[in-house]
Amino acid sequence: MTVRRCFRILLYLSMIFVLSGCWDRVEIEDRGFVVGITIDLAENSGPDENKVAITNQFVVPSGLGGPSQGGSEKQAFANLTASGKSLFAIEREMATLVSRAPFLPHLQLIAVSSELAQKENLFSDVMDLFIRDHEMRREVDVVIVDGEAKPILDIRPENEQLPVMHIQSIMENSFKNAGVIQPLKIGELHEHLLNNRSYVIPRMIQNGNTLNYSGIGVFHGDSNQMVGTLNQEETRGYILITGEQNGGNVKVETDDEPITLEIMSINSSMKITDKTKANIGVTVNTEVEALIAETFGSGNMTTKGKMKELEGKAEAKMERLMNQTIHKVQEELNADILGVNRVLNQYHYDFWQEIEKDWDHGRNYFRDASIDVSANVNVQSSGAADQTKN
Amino acid sequence: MERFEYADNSIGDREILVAVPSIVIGVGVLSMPRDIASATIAVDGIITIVAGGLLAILLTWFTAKLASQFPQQNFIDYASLITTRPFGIVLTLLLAVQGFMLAAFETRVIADVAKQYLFDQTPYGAVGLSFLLVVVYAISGSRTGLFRLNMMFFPIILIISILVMLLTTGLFEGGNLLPVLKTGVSGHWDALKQSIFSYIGFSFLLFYTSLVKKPKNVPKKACIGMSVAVFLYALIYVMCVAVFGNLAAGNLLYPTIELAKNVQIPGGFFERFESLFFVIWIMAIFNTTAMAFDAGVFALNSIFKKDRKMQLIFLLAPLIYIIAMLPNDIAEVSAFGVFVSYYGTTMTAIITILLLMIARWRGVTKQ
Repeated sequence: MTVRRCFRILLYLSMIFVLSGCWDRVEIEDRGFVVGITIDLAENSGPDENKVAITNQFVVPSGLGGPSQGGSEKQAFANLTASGKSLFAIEREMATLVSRAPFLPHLQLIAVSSELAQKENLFSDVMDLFIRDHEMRREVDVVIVDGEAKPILDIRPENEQLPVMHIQSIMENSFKNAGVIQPLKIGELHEHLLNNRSYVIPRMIQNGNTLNYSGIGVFHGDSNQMVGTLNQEETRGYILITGEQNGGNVKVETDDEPITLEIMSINSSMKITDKTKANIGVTVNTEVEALIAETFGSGNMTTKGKMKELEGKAEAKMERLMNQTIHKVQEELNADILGVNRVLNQYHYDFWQEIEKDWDHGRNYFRDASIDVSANVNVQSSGAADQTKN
Repeated sequence: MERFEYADNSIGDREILVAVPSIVIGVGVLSMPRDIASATIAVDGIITIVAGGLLAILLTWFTAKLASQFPQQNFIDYASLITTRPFGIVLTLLLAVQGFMLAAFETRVIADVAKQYLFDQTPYGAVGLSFLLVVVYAISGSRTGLFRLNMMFFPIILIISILVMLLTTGLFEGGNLLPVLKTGVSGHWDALKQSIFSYIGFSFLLFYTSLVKKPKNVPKKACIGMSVAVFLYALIYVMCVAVFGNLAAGNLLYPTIELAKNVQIPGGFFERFESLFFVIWIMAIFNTTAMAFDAGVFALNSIFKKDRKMQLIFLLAPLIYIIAMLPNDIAEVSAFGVFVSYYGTTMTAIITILLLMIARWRGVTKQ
């Protein structure tokens, strides 16, 4: 009896060993938190072998310092580059170069160099790992960097400790200024790649220690390569056509005094009016709500006539912006980023099935489509004061 | 060893109402939007989900109706009464096998999902084993206790599903739902097959109804329970398509998990919502597995005169584990899943309708 009892107690005690077991235990000190990744063409890449170079930005926790310690002298990040043909192999190789294995779930940003993006299909191949890997979240931002992407991770921001965080706050804050679009999430990119439709990715230009988040890169859905860019003006037109986001400003001249309107909201709707294949008719209606942000003259703002005149001028200006963009994407870039294909698919499905194969490639119905735009501006108020000088 | 026995060993029809969605909602819902979205266009799949759901509700009603005609009688008793004793044993065996296969399939999928998203290094065999051991522990106790566990877990599962959907409404894109009604008949047919399979498991009503003292209301309650599952599936499907778009939803391995991964709580203080979702979804899968296993044991046990529940459990658990670990890769696992669903759906439908018809024809009622 007592022997059995002892045996039983021993058996129970032995279970303690199992309790502490954890197969996947990794100490937090051993994890290399990657917050940003840049992807470039490798320097020694031959003409047709497409080797890529990846730079990871690791966080160095001791460099961050606590709030009580103040800013420490140590740098809060470490950048590491490796190159090769398979991204996954590069990431694994990276683990041998650094004392901490790369840990990707906290990745915030993927920046791709424009040189790489211009190579046919390479961009989508490179993105495959980031979409496929279960460690990645679908909320990672993707941007295109003009020229080489790697140096953006070396920027010394004024009041942020991590360059990636700095880049992110630039992206988040600048949507107020029209001419930029919101960052593209990798989940949305997955949809674009599956759809075979043309799409846009925001673009950054590095200038010494400053980064400009301006304009967008246009990707052709068929070849998945960057076919061109839209500058700030053209991007404004793009935003007005798609109504993708609110915000921004527009400058208008009335009676020789420039007035700046701040855009509060943009509502645009697109309709197909003509379904003849050779000349598909599209109309775009954009409703804009705006405020007067700044005037350089001394006129009275609240009279009805003045307001009407201002709105008319603003409408003309916006229509000009939109037409400029339409001209560029139809004639020059030949990529339907305006979403005409989406409207066709959603509301004219059977017709779309007929023309999908020849939309912005092949027979190119998109180029021949006539797109009419009309803007309707409503200025809500003149700001906090009517006249500021007399 | 003595075991503590609960005084009240019968369940009410309210327990049945909760048990039906508990057993139906399992691993199927994690991948269901993919199978349906890849066969249909835009949000058209919702029609097939609802149609499949209505079919499942109809079958549930038949099953519950048949069982409730013979209050407090085991399946084997009334099956023998309607047909003959050997035939009753064969039918019982066929249905018991379904329970074991469903348990094996659920174990395997939870092991795979856990490996993919939670444990990178742990072999799936180890995850599956520990999961199955907990299931064995659960069903070794009283059957009523299992139903009470369902009652406790189910509201939590509902709350987390609704929370996932509420927190992703910010990513809802109405345009993704268009165009409507463009899927051809063959696409709907493919999707319908997939959607019916997401509803398997209701056959356990054939056994468990005998535990209910007054089963008059069981068919109604079981149908209400099934409607909860149908409604939840439809809602999850619409959210997946609206958030990811039909194409991406059809190309994600587990769209429902990705939906949970997309949750971002404003303020940024809680980044990885999916870990919470996982914990709770494992509870849902645990319910399904335990009920399926227990239903099988219950069925087999009714063949013997003496109570052999514990022997059966310890004999069958290793068998279930081996079956669960047999498929080599994800393709074989889904082939196994398709087989389990085919088997379960056709077997339950045929046996129920056959017995109902013979009972009516021969005028068999309760003894």
